[in-house]
Amino acid sequence: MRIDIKEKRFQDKVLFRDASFSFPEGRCSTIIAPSGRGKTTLMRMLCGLDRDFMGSVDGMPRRPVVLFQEDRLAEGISVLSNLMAVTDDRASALSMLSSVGLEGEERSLVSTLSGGMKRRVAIARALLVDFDALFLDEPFSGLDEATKRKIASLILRVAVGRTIILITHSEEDAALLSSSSAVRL
Amino acid sequence: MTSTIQDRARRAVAIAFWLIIWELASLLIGEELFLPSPVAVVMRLFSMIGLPGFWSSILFTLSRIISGFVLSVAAALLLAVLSNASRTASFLIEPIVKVIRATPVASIVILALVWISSRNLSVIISFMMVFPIVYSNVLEGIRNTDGKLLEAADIYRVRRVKRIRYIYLPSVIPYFSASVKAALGLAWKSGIAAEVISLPDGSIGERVYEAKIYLSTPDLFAWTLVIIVLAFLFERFFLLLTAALSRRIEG
Repeated sequence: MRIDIKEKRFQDKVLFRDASFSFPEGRCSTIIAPSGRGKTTLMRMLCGLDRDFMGSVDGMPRRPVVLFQEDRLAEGISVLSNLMAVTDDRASALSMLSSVGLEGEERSLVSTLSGGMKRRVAIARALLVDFDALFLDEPFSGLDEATKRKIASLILRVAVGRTIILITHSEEDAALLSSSSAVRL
Repeated sequence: MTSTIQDRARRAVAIAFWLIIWELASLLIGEELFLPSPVAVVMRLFSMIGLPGFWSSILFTLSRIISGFVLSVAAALLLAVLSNASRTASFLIEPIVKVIRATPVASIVILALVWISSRNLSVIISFMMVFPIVYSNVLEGIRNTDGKLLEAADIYRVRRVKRIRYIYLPSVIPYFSASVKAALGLAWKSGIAAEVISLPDGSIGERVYEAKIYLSTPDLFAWTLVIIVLAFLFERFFLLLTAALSRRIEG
C-alpha cells in the first residue's frame, strides 16, 4: 500500500506536501509521531475516509476496518448489541467478548462501563468484522500493561497474514504488535 | 428505594393538603353552584357511573383521542424520517408544522368543522396538536445521532436495518418519549375543547357543556375528574410502552 501526497491541508495548515509513504501488505506497520502531526489524518487518507487531498493511494484496501481513537460505541445499548450491529453470529460475538476479558458483561449497558472496558468492547467489535487491512488508532489507550499484552496477542492472532497499520505515539505500543516497519512524522 | 417512598409520601401529603384547602374553600363559600366540595364531586362521580351513557361517552371520546394520537405519532415518525432523508421534504413540511404550532386550537376547531363532521373532530384536533411536537422531537433525535458512530457504521459495513435498530433508535427513543409525554396532555385538552365547541352526540365534551348549561357544577367537576384520570392512565400506558421499547432496544 502506497500513498503519494502532493498536498494535504487541515483548515489553513499544510499537513503534508510532496510526501510518499509505503506500507508492506500482510504485515504490521506503524505510523508513529507525537500528537498533532497528522497521524490520524494520514490513516484516514489511507483507508479512504478522507479523500480531500491532492494525491493518490495505490493498493487501497477494499475491506478496511478501523479501530478509531475514540471508542465510537452506542452508549445507550448493551455491550452485546454493539457487537451484534456488526455480526449476525451471536456465538462469535460472545467468544470475542470473552477474548477481550469481558465475559459476563454482554448485558451491561455501555454507558455503565469504565473507559478501559469500553475500549475493549470497541476492539472486540473491530475484530469481529471481516477485513483485509486493520487500522488501529491508539488501540491501547486506557488499558493497563497486562491487558495491553493480552489484546496485542489477540489482534495478532485474528489479523494473521493481513495488513495492520498501527497509529501511535508510543514506541512500546509499536513493539507490542511486533511492527516490522515504521513511518515517523 | 427509601427516597422513592419518601417522594411518594410527600406527593400524597401535597395532594391531601390541596384537597383540604378545596374542602375548606367550599365550606367557606357554602354554595355548591360556585364550588362543590371534593366529597360532593366524588359522590356525584359514583352516582354518574351507573347512569346510561356514562361509559359510552368515555368510549366515544377515548376512542377518538387515541385514534388521533396514534395516527399523529405514526405520521410524525414517517415524515420525520422523510424530512431527514430529503431536504426538499423537510422544507415542504416545515411551514405546515410552524403554522399548526402558531394557530389557536379554537381557530382550527372552527375551520375543521366546515370540512368534517363534528363526530370526528376530536380525532383531527388531537392529531394536529400532537403532530408538530412529535415530528420536531423525532427529527431532532435523528439529526443528533452521533455522526462519528455513523462513520464507524460505514467502515464496519453495518446493514441499514441494523443501523436503525442499533444506532438510530437508541438515539431517537429519548426524544420520542419526551415528546409523547408532552403531547399526551395536549391531545386530551385540545380533544375535549374541540368536543365542547362542536358538541358531538354522546361525547364527554357534550356532557361537560350540558353541566355548564344546567349549572350543575358537581357534574362539571366530576367529568373533569374523569378526564384527568383518563389522561393520567393513558399517559402511564404509553410511558410503560416506550419504557418497554427502550429496554428491548438496549438488548
